[in-house]
Amino acid sequence: MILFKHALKHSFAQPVNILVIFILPFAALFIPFEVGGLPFGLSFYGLFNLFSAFLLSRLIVEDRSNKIIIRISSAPISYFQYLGSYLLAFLLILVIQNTIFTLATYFYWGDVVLNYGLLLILYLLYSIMTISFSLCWNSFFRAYNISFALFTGVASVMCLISGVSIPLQVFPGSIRSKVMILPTYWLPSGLVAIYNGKIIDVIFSYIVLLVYGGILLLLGSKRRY
Amino acid sequence: MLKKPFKIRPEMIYLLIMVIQLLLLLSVIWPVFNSTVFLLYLIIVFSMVLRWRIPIKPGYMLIDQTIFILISFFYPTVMFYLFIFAYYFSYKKKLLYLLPTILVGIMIPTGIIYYVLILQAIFSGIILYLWERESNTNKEIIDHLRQHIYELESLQSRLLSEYQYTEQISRLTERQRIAEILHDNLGHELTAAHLSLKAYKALLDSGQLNRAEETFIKAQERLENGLKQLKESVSHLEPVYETGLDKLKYLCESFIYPVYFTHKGDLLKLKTYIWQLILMSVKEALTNIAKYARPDMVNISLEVTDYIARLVIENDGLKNSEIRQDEMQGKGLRYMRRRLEAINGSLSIQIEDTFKLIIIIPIPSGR
Repeated sequence: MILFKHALKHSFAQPVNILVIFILPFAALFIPFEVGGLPFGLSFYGLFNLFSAFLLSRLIVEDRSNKIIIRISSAPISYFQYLGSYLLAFLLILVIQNTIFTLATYFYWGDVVLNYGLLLILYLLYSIMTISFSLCWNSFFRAYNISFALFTGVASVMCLISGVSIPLQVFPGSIRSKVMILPTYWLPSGLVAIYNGKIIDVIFSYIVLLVYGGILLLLGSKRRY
Repeated sequence: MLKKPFKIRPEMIYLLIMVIQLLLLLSVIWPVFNSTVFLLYLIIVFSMVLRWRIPIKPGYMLIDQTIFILISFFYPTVMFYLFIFAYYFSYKKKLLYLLPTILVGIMIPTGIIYYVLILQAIFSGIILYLWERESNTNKEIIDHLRQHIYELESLQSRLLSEYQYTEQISRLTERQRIAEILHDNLGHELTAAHLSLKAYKALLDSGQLNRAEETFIKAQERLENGLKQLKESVSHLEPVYETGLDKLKYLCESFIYPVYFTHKGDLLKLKTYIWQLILMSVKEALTNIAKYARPDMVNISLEVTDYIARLVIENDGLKNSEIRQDEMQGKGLRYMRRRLEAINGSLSIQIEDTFKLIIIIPIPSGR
């Protein structure tokens, strides 16, 4: 619980976190509709969510680079508790972000989305995936700056070609079927399924996001000093 | 801090080949890529990553394999996923678990590529398994050798430290022994011969030739006897035992707490090595008392019978300290026990109101 609170306090203490997590994503609300679909901001929000998760995971990298992780490993606390507390704190912040964004969407766009519950679950699972992705990504780097620099480029391109930053309809069908290999693809895919009311496809997106989250979490949770 | 040298291990190569196998699978399913194929691919990746991170019995992988086999009856593309399981099972030396995969290959004909994938997976898995087995055997041998070296080193250092002490004791004992032999045997004879020769000269001067000749013959006999005794003494040199007792008394007197020492029986029966053991044991015990206990009294008693020497070192320091028995079973006592056991002796500890160390040393009969 101490680490959980510490992670929350540390995350909220950074002004840039507040800006990226709680202010910037709401700019996505004002992006207009896709042609024959949902407001594009709902998909574009995925980019902010991804960067939010990455900024939050900075604490874990800093713990490693400042050798705090070595001190924690000698404390009477397991690595599982340590990582679990941090990740839960990050998830809580992103859940708050998702909830506020979903509510804001409801109030701004009204009944454009048929089922806001499905949307919230989609965002929740997407957040789990983004946190795991950030954890996994950061586990390959010792310094946060290098990690961030590379992540900015890779995440932007990933969001661009997976339909988060640009509507999926822009891409030809052959490419669209291949970009599903990217984890971010499953947010716009789920959004389209929600818009079309195809529950099976929505659940499919949920499962893929969850499996992706699991894989990335398992890869990223390996203890590194 | 010393950096560990990088060494390629079989499990690292296993992971690398697993990644290659998964990429190979991706390339195989790429032409028919769709969301279902991709989800199944993700599930198999998840399954493998889970087993990499968390040790799960290979038997549980049969559940995953069965699910994929069942799906492959309705969706033959999924058959190509099975070689990942073949690789896993081969590496884990569970070749029997591959039977369903082979049977499915017979039941659903898919072409040569299926068998090629399965064969390469089995082959690489078995090779890695053999490598790992050899590596583990080598590790065990190295660990065993390291432990052996460590034990030898500690024993060597112990022996070296004891060697100096033994040498000192031996030298003093030898010196004392020679001095006594010279005094007890040769000294008397030489003195008597010297006096006889003086008497001979006095008798010669007084003109008593007969008596002088008798005295001279006696002096000659004394000298011959002395010479004989010298030869006997040299050939039957015996150690002097009192040195050990002196040393023991000195240890008791110089200890920081008052020590009451008693002895019973014929101490002359104790050979030098027994004295040495007794002294070592007393020294170790007194050091332990000084370290761990705060006694009001320390009793040392040495009892010698025809067959054994019984040394009891007792102190009442336990009631004043919280030291437990297991804490007192340190290296010193362990080494002491080992030394005693080497000569068929024994060491036992009794903890009641007092802490009692009882040492029994057998005395070999005859010379």
